[in-house]
Amino acid sequence: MADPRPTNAGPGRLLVAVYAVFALAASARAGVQIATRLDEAPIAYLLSAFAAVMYIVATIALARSTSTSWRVALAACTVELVGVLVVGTLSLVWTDAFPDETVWSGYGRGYGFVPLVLPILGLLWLRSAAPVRR
Amino acid sequence: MIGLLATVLIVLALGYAAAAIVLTALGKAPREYYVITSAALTVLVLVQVLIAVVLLLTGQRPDELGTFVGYLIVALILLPVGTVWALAERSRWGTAVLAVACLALAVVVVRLQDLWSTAGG
Repeated sequence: MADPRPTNAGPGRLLVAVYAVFALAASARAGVQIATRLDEAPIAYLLSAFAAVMYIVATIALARSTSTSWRVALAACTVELVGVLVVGTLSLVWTDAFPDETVWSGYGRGYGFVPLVLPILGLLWLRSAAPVRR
Repeated sequence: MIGLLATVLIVLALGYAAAAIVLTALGKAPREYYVITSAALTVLVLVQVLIAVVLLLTGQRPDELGTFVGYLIVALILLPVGTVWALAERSRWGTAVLAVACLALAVVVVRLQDLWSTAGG
């Protein structure tokens, strides 16, 4: 199987930059929440941390651009999209479990819906940078 | 924190971002001299960070000290890292990376000001 077209070149360069900024923002916020007030909303804060890890994985995988990292990026973007849709829906119908905002609450409303748009752009980009199959 | 310097930083970062967005729209790849403009802006960020550190050492503390220090570090590395990542891409997308870094810097400086306001500085 041929190596995929580089996921870190062209528009991918910009995608990696946006992912990096977002990974930084999400992990910093989750880190502070867990360090200072985990007992207030453990589900929400641990979910924020999980989301942050997914953004970090996607950033590194897109930036590395090998055929393995292509698959890792695909998995990370898929988890992010499923996560934002499931958690977004749950946070609206089951408000008790989410007393404080997570990155994915309300489909990423607190972050300008970037958490919803980013994995979609990531998946579209991964498709166009897919490995060539015979 | 000097309010005036923070405001200047925000305006310059937004101006730099706007220029990068226009150049992206025109399909321009990043140029080597961006290193100079990015470095100049980063020197101003460094001055702001040093002022903040001195104020912290003299006893003024914002409520969320950990977050504040984290933002100081991020403010300092955003443009250098962003500029290196931008210059390695010889297309409009490299210039777009610079725009993202500048917008992020503006947001970080705004957040720094917000956090510092709790220290009454």
